[in-house]
Amino acid sequence: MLRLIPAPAPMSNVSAKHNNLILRSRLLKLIRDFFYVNDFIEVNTPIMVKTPALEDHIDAIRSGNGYLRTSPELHMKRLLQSDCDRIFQIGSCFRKGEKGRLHNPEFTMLEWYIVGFDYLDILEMITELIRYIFSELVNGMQLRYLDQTLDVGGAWDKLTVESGFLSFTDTTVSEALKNGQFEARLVHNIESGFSSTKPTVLMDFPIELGAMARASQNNSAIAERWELYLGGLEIANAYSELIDPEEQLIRFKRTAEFREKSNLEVYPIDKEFIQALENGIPECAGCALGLDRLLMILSNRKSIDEVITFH
Amino acid sequence: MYNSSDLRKGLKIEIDNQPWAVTEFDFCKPGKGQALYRCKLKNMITGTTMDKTYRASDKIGKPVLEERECIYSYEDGESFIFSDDKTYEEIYVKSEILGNNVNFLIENAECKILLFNDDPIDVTLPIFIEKVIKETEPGVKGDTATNVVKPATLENGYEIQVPLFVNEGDLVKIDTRTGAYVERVSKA
Repeated sequence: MLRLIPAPAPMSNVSAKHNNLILRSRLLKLIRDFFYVNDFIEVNTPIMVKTPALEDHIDAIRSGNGYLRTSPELHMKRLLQSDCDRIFQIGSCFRKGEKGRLHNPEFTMLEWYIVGFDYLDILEMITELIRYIFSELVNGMQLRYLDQTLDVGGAWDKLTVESGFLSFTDTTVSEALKNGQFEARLVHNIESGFSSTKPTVLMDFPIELGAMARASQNNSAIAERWELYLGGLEIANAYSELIDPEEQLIRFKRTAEFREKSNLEVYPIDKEFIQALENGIPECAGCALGLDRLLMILSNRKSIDEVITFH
Repeated sequence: MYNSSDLRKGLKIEIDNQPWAVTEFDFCKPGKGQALYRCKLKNMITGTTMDKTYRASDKIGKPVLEERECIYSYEDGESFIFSDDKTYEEIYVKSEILGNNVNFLIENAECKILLFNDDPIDVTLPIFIEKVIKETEPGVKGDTATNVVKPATLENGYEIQVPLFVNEGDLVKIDTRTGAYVERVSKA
């Protein structure tokens, strides 16, 4: 095996930029270790795609005859079979017009799918992943993030979207959805009430906001979806994946209509994905984690620009 | 009209017939939902501030703002009169618009006047102006230290902190942005 001459020990006055590079590299290795140990295979799916996944509020950047991917979701789900039942990917995704303290139009996504799991199983898995990353990179379960101590070792707060609205707002989920105030309420009233010392899981979204999540078996108005918040930052999104081709097609069409009405570009429906659902994709769960935001937390940075090497 | 996606720090917008400047801006997009554009706004006339969040579909008013290069001419007791550098048109500015700047007006100074719907709302003076010290304690000869100061008064009654060596009748340079003494230009 090739062994290069060992690199000189890093100097103590390493620049912030290079500290970021080192941290990012160590994080990538830890994530790969975690998934390889758990029998996942690492995949690469196209970055340039014919059509992006249809979502009400996600806009894609055009590239050549197609688009840059907004997420690797559709291609990754097409890979799932009985003999390829655990896959993960780390790579760039692109979203048009998203630029802010927590957003950059190009960002790094960690995404994984596992057959036989639902959204609660994958919640246990991300708990293990985050604790593993902390134990290796932070030397414990606690770190300081923006003047607060974040502890991932204890019990995580869990609340449903409905109970969040009940506890923190004077309106209901359906009322807020009807008058277009859902996001404003979420940001101003609910997220701001989350603990910054413990991870928070916001779960069971209204089915209208479930995009590609399956409906709960107990309540068809609820999507099996959660969002994880660390230190107040939205860090990951997960579904029990919708695998019913008819239902998926209805949702894509509804989204296309919504985008048409809202004067947003309407992307073609991904027929190959619908075909794959018709051929049969096994019951599975998937999770997408914003790696740059996780790096913000691990390095105690306020803005995503501080952890992206070239921005 | 502006779209929400035009919002950024420094943009000037109009709400209820008032001009507002965006002093802080953040884009956020919770849980795959619609984008929110969170702004801190400052009223360009009154200086009051407020928080406002816009949604992606919102349209935002564009104020009619014009900046004109003017020369300060005179005061008529009610207003301060400037004349447009090119058209010589006279522009009347009330003292409340000038605020502290009233103390630093000098005849023939080149100023910039910001107009909102043709009404003056802000006057930018030259960064440095020169004024004579009218009253101060006698200077301490040989003391050239600039970090020890004493009060002094200009002809218009404005009080300023100056170094100990400055005397009555000296011409001093003042920074109009801060209202502070910069240096002595010449001795009395």
